[in-house]
Amino acid sequence: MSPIGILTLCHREEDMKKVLFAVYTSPAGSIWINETFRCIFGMYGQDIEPVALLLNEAVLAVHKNCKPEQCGVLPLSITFKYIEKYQTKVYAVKEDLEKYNIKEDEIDPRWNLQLILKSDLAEFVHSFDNVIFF
Amino acid sequence: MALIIVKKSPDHKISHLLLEIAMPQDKVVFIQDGVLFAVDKNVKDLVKEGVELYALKEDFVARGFDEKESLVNLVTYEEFAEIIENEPKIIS
Repeated sequence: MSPIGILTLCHREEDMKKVLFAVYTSPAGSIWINETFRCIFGMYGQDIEPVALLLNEAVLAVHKNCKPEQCGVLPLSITFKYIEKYQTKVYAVKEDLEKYNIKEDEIDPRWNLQLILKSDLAEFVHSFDNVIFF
Repeated sequence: MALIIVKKSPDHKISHLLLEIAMPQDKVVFIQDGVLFAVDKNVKDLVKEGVELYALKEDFVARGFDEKESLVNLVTYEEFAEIIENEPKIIS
């Protein structure tokens, strides 16, 4: 890459806005988790760095046996290839996982999930330029 | 500093979470059914000290309340737009 190209890239990375997409609705019976990821994947190519946060009932999505398609909505698995392709960061609130008794070995590894404590949530959310709750 | 917009009523968990994550010097604006927080006697105890609370006047009076009933400052659409313009971060 030319020096100008490198400079342009550096400039672009500095300018990138960090946007957190926080989803709190259950994966079964609602479209919001897939809709959140559809929005996230649409951000790539813009000067935006999207990150996903699952909280409240939305954490049910990470259970490897979670199958919303049984309720007639799109499967969550359609998001996995893009999570891998774009290396999308996905976080979930640890206490919410515990509330629904989801153990670490029950989490589908394709989420590449990182856990966050509820006590760190305020600071985490404030570290983004924009936060959109679904 | 951030602007936090609360749209859902106090019956929704997510509204309470948004208030919990508000940090001192943040501005919280209640809109839509979120304005029902403006008549909650405990509303100021739901946020940390130093968090500024506002409710959208139009949404408040549209739900049958008198302006005097609000326990937080009411802002017009124009004032709300100014708040949005002046806040670097938005959480909604």
